[in-house]
Amino acid sequence: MAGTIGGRTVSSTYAPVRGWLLLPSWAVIGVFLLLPMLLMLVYSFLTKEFRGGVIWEFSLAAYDQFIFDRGLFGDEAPSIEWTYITIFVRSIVQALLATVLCLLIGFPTAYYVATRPARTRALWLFLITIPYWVNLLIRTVSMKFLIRDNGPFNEALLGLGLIDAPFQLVNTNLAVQLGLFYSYLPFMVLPIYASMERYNASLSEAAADLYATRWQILRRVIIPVIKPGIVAGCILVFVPSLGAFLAPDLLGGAKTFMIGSLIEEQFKGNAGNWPFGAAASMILLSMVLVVLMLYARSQAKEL
Amino acid sequence: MNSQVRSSASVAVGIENVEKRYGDFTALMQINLQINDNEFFTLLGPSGCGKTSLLRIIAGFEPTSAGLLFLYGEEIENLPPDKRPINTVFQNYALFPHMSVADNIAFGLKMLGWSSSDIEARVEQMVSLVRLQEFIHRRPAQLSGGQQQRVALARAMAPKPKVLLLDEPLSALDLKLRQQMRAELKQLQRDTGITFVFVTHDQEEALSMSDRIAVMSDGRIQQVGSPMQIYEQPANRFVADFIGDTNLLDAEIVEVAGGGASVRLGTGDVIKSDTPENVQIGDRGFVSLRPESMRLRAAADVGTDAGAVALQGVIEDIVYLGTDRQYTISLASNLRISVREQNVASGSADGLHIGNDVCLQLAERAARFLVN
Repeated sequence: MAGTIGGRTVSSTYAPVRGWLLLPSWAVIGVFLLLPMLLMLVYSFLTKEFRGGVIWEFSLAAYDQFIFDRGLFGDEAPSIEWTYITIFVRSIVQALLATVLCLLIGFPTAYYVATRPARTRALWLFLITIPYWVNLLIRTVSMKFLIRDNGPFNEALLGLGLIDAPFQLVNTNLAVQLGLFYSYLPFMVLPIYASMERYNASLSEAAADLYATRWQILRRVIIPVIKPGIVAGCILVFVPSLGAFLAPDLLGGAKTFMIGSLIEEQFKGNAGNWPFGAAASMILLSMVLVVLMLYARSQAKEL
Repeated sequence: MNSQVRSSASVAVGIENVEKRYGDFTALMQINLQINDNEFFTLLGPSGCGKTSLLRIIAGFEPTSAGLLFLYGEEIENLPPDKRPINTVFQNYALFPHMSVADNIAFGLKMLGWSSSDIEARVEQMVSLVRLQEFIHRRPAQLSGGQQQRVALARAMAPKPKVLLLDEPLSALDLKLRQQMRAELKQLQRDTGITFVFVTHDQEEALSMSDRIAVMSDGRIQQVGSPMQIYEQPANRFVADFIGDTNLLDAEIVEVAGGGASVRLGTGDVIKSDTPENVQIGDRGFVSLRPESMRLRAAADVGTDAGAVALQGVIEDIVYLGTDRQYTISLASNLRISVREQNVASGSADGLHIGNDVCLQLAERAARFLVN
């Protein structure tokens, strides 16, 4: 039996990397991931039941509703329905902003931690992950408490005389952004840290030896070499930010609505529209897949 | 130290009273060296002797704790590495993994702001110098160790540095390749005329390539000299022991005459020996006897020709080494000495076996006396 370990082909009893090792994970992925997703795909092409649920009758109404406005009774000439498109665009912008913000804060953090002595590194990583021992919901609610009009943040600013009236954060896009950034920062820090830790510091010395300034070392050597970690961090922040619903629900309002909340609403209680929620999910999923495929292609080109 | 030496164009790297301390630990003390222009200079010593620290100080990766550093007469100890016209070949090569061979070689030239046509021409010149023409589009990971080594050399030499530093560049290669690269490096240094400062712990490497060698141990320079001086006239016990194999026997001077002296060994035998200047009768120390500087003969064959015989003993062990045989001889007073004989076709020593009585004849100037 031949297999490959660490890129080398080995053939012996000690390379028994057989397919059945993956069986449990295939079973879990199949039952709990692929099956529900297929169900959603099917639902998105069915007719809605008014109390929630579906009628098993093929219909493109969900996708049509997403893009076109046909009036209250569906009999007017179709015009573009901007409501949902706006929500999607807002979600993409928010997710991109969160990714950029996490990168700007996360990269220096990871760089700092990775360049500490080995013992101190473990402590820093521990400190970074501590907040994540608390449920995301609790943390988001706490943040709302901190930034509300009469919360500690505004009290402090008023007390210092920096502002005359409370600075309204809750229900704004800024608050949602803050929530996303805070929720997903470690997903940026940890993969970049992992790449940084493997980075061979003598590459920086070699670059300095070859007349590169500190900035040139960062731009031409460090960043390209740890790029896989940066890309992984960006994907890990962008994808969940795009579908997030906790931060926009709790910190935002009607004007900060994001895709996640839109989908959530369709399946909640009796007022929902399951086929429409399923269709929005499928559109979201396709967008994420496009991003991942573009990334995969750019990687393939480089090799 | 006078300033004429510093500013002299023939001194590529001048090091004056350089010290390096890490907390309580002193890595380098009172280092004084002058590395000449166009010289293949080697820093040789066991690991931890400070040779790599000294190289990193010259490159600018580490500051000195005290002392002065000159490059062709100019003080450079306050310049960062990117401002020193010195390039380094790193021990693990430190090639940029995300760049092709050509981009690796071009890196320093780009940083120096060369025009793209000049860069292209120089890269072409360098790849043909190190014979990597077919590989210029490959990534370092797609090259063998020897090829990576050549890229590292080409990359460091492309910006035409005034001094090239090499930090154990051959240690990662296998024996055959290492021997071949020795010759290539030496040739490259001759052809380019760049001053090489080479760091190694391998004495054979140092002896075969260098114009001059500085032997280091415990953060100090023990001796500076040509390979022949270092090998044949070691300045102290450490150098005698570290460079090549040798027998170190306790000795006392019993007679001083002309350029040499007679010394008495622990066995009671008196032999002729080279000495440093200014030794006196009664000085105690040791003699270094290289295993290859002695001839071995069966005691029975020597007969009455006793005048040429220096030492007598019994063969205790014989190790066959291919080109040589190594004999361990036990002498009087429980002393042992090792002797190497070449396995020539007619093999005069072939008849010797363990347990045979033998006589040792010393070659001219085989023994060197050193005070403790």
